Amino acid sequence: MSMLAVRRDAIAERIDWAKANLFDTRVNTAITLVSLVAAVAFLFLTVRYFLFQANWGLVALNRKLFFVGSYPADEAFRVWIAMFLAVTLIAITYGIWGGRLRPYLIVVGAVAALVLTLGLGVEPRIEERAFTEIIESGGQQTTISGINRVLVMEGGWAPSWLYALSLGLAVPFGSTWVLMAGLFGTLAGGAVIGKQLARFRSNPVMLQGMGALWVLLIPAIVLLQLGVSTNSWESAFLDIIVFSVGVFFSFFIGLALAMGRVSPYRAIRISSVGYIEVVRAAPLLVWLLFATFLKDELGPVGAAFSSIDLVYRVMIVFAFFGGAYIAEVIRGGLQSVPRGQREAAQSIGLSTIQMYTLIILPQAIRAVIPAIIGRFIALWKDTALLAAISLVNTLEKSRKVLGGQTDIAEGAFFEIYLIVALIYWVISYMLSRLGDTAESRLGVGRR
Amino acid sequence: MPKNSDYEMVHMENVVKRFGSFTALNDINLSIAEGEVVVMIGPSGSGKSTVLRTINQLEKHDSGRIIVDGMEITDDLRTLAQIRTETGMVFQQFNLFPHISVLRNITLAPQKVRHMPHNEAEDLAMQLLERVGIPEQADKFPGQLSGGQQQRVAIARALAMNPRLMLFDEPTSALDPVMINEVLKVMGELAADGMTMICVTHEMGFARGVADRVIMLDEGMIAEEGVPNEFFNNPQSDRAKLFLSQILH
Ligand SMILES: Nc1ncnc2c1ncn2[C@@H]1O[C@H](COP(=O)(O)OP(=O)(O)OP(=O)(O)O)[C@@H](O)[C@H]1O
Ligand SMILES: [Mg+2]
Repeated sequence: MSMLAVRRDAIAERIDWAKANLFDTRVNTAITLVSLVAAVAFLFLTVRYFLFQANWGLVALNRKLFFVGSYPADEAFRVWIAMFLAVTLIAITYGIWGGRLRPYLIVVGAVAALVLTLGLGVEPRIEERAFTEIIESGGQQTTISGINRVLVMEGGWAPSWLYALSLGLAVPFGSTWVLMAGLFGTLAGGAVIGKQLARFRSNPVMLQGMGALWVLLIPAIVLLQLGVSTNSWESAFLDIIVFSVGVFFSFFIGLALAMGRVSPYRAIRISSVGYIEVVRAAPLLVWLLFATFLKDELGPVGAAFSSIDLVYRVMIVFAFFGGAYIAEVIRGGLQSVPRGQREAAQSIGLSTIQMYTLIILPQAIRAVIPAIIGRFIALWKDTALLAAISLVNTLEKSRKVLGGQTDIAEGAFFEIYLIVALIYWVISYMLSRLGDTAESRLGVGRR
Repeated sequence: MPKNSDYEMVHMENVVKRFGSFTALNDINLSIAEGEVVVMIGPSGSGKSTVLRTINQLEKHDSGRIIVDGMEITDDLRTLAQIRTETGMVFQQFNLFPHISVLRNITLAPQKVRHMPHNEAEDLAMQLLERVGIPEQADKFPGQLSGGQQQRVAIARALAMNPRLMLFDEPTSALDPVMINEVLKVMGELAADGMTMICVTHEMGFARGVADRVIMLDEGMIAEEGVPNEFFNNPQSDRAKLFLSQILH
């Protein structure tokens, strides 16, 4: 059979399928047609909006605000170092345990090309133009003169929508394209190096070394920021740092609580259960408000707590709140490990601690990785609540941008909130990819 | 009926075990000599597993004395740990650790409990895998092995601690007939090497060919015991007669 005939058969098959499934009855035909029209209309409106109507210049103008808010520009190196540390570790880890290298490198390369060639030349700025206007009413002429602010995009060769597509907004501090290029280079190079190291993947030294680096990463990033007052921690930077610290400690708190629930000591069991139930009984927002307004109501503990910077208090709340949920997830994992595993571990003479760390917990946690990642993603999106306790997170910053630039941002809420959504989505997506990879990597050899 | 020596490996005296109000072991008295191979039979729920599990204290007994290799079981954790390392146990469901390789299953206890160096532990594991006939499976995960292979790995894992006593709890009940023989062969070789063994099994061929003594439990008590041929050909108690008629048709 010739290629053409094969293709014609394939098409005929599809037509048959459509006839049988989409156009078989009159009602079905009507539904199919209406859906088709709706889909085309939606697509048309979306494309028209993105390419011709949206005011992407506004996003470009405020890109630094979205990422680091009012972080002082001459302290920017702290953010850059943190980004380099994180990106290096992410890339190497991906190389060692992640999927195939080529699609990854293609994506990194494409994004880098877009950002570096399209994004960097553009300099959006606000121009003030004087105007004079003559208004006629009731035979009277009034002359009004004033200043009109307009948004101008200059220097780039790409149209504004392409600029937005390029994620040029990902450049937090303007024309630092060398650093930006370095970041992409690290993303690619780290993965390539990681691939070379992949054959030591299950070597215990390697596992412990990488584990230690990951554990050290978050404290290192926080330590790096200590020179800058938490008052200027804003926007995505604030969200990410609160989330990272919160999620990091919530895992260990959850682990401890889950172990507490199966402890042989009644007092520990009861207090673990009590803690989990109390924390889960109220929404995160309520706990955040407590943390915000607590003075000395709880005696010296409360006084000490309230003397900490609000941002750190919020991190503590995130850690302990998230911990209660993680505990329940891990408990489910513990229950899924068959009794025989415990008995086998005991019968070969392992101590209780060895039994848990070597046999039970690895299996328990592995079984609930998707649920743990789910909790992490929920916690990430809960950072949106920081807006409610007078911290300037991404969401709050975007509202400020809209409110502060009413003349040029008129009606541009859609562009702004799209970017906010994009920021939430990127991290959520990375987390869920991490979950998938961890699951398939760790799932090797499961029964 | 001790065989190889007069040294008493396991001594149980008036052992009672209750689960709530249910008495699973009702005054068990048992003495097993070093090198002896004992087969334990009895109807379902008669307490066979519970006897094995009190010996290495997977279940705590309520009263009576249990002495393993000269050490009496008390609340002392160190003695308990010592007894567990000297006692290997093989389970009906294998209970291999599914998240680590076959080799690692075997090297784990020697390394973590005995602090044996990595290389030495791997050499030992390979020797044991040779002994149970599956050295080529070392790098696989338990889930990739057949039931018979898994059970042989489980035996190797128990042997890695160089135990003085091996407990087998229906090691072949979850296996297909072909695989049963490969496991029984390994157990037979172990017995020939002089290992002290207590086997809960309904493999009568194994009992007749390898065991020094057969013990029948019923309702938490020892109903009858004897040398295999005598026991099977000429049971004394009604319970034993009934039970044998059921399992031998
Ligand atoms: N953890 C437990 N909790 C409550 N009852 C138990 C427990 N373990 C065993 N039993 C009970 O004790 C009795 C003896 O159990 P055991 O497992 O020793 O029997 P068995 O002779 O090994 O039976 P089988 O041939 O079915 O394995 C049974 O009636 C069982 O229901
Ligand atoms: Mg049993």
